[in-house]
Amino acid sequence: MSHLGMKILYGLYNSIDYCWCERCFAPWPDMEEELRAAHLPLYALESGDGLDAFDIIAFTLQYELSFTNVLNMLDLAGIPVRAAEREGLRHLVIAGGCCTANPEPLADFVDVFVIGEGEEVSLELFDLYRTAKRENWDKHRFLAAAAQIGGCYVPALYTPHYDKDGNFTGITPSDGAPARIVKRIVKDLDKAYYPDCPVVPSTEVVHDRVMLEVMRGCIRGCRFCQAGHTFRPIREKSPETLIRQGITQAENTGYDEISLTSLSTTDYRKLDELCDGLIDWCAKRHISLALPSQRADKFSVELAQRLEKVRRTGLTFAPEAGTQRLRDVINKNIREEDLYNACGLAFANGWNSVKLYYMMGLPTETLEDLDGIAKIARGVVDVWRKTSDNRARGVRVTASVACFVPKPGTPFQWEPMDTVEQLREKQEYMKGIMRIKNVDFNWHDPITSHLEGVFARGDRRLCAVIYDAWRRGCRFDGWDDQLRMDLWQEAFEACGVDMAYYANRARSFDEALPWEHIYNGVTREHLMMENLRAHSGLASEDCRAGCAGCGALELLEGGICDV
Amino acid sequence: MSELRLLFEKRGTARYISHLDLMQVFRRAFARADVPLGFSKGFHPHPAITILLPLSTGFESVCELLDFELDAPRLPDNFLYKLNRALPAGICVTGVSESHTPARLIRYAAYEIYTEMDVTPEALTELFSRDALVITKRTKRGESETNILPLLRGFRAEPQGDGILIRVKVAAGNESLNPEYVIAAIEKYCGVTASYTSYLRREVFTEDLQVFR
Repeated sequence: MSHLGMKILYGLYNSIDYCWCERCFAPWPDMEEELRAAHLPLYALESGDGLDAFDIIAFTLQYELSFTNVLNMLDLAGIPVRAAEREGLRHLVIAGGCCTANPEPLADFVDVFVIGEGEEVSLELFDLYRTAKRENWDKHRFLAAAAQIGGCYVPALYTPHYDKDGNFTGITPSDGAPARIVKRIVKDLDKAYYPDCPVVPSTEVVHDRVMLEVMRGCIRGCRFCQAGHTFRPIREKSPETLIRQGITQAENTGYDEISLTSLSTTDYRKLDELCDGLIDWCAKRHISLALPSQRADKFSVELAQRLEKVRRTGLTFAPEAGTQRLRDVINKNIREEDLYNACGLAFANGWNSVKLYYMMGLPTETLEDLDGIAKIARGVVDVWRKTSDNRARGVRVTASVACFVPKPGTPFQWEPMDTVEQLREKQEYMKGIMRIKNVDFNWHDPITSHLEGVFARGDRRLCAVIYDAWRRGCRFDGWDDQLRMDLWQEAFEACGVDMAYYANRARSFDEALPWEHIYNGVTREHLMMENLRAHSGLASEDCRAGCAGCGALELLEGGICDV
Repeated sequence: MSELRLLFEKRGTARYISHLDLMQVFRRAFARADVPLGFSKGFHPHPAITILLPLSTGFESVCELLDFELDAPRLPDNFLYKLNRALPAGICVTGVSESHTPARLIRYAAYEIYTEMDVTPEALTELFSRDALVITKRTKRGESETNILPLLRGFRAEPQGDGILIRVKVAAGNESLNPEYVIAAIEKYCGVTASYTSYLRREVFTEDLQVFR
């Protein structure tokens, strides 16, 4: 319920005369049991109609470990999970979202992947579907025509090739489908559809608030970040549009929080103007304005205090790595001094808790980099001792360390991921050095990250593994209490697929990558250059300090990036 | 700022909205209806909304009471229409009045319990005319053996459809009894298991069984 893309597309589709869109979410296993026992199909929430009553079933793919849920939801609705087994136009299965940066592991199950932003392209697809339905086309004719719509990837029209050693060598289209599927974007966000009145749940969900999307894309180019590379080019909304949309949504929903969302909201140029336009309106109504996270080098006490007029929220910074050397490698251009300055300002103004986000397993990482995480945590506590206006209240520094997963479409798409053993070893080391007064250390078992790493850079041979694992009972794999690694291992063995081949292997620049026919706007040359700079320990400037010519500008067709 | 009391129904799928979520549902409905609420003072101000007698999740009710502070000289025109339009299906406000009687005066709540089990209404009437019905009651301090009869008033059972409709008043407020223990007692003493049970709160009463408002 918290996903912004779903709110936008749900509102947009229902604003179209001929379209009726409902929501459906994967049921928890206890509900699944009841549905299966009662022979009830998985149903849509608005009407209670089974999913099999719908023409098109659309999935948003936000996380690799939700892939088995896609199969399970189709099956619960009585719809064949394999695309080839679904005949005719009924039950067309489409999917979009950030995991389409590499859709190959789901190629056997999805009829059409929509690459990029869905506002325009999905309506073009629906139009075509209406024509096809009216004129009684067969499925193949429809799919071949759909492949001609920019941003529509029809996996059934592409054949992958492997060499004698089983390495992927390329993919060839048929039926006139394009060799490269170029991501779709909305050029002018001020003119784009934005929902006035999203569905407000009556039971608590996460991120239950007005989400005001201030821009798309990110100027930073952190080398590990998939969204930062695949959501380009940078486009801002005007403060006028945002103020109008924020007030309308708050009035219509009754939410008491407006979140200014984007990949890096402190980089939004007219943030002051936007806050000025909203803050008094909000304060009168006990509505708080929130920034999901802030850059330590852009932290402003004045801004933070204005935002907390209604409610004081915690501070979160993401240094991502423990040493300047490694931060240069990953291009997270934040200096330790920036962080200490930001924390000092915050502590002096009454804050007493800070959350710090890191990753371990980054390319070129050494124990010294992990020591740096502990050193910074100590440093922040020291800053608190020197700057706090109220020492008696104490301080809480939380350091969360996630496992780095190399993602397609980033400069690190060629990098080997640390093995589970390496990551566990590093975690044990971290547990030792993070026993620090006033510091909490959070970590997560690397096994889920490992599986994520396999699917993130997988090819079509993983379709069989996903199918097999689902048949064995795997679902909700991203949930620790549901993940059945034993069943996954059986599935990989039964299909003769090696997890390490996908997760832990370094790729050379000469190698063909299974997802390179999906073009998100950033050129291979740019990603390679950024990868080389990473290994030379060289940071790159942000897009505003100097355009690196990543290629995303081309998507604007004569427009200008980041105006 | 005046304190006002709503009388509302919670029926249908709205029965699955929990007590805490219901407060949020009302807070948002007031905001959508543009009715300004009073807020508590302090570091984390929260809207002054109190639900007088929390209802178990899954129960329906036609007699829920909610107190709120209005941060305006008077209620807007068409207040009930505006608020009901902003509330989710199943929740319907049927009245608004000054809040003058304190919640602690609530002593009983009348329930209609519809249940399907292999037992006759006559057997139930006989069961509830005994001297004592002792069941194991879970409390915050652990389990205790409790005679539930002193906590009940006016037990009646009659056939309805495929099952039995029980009307009973149970203690509510300070020393209370969840009506699920009525079914638990029947299951224990009659050696049966209910295949289906639903609960509807009909009315709330004071000590002398006057309707509480």
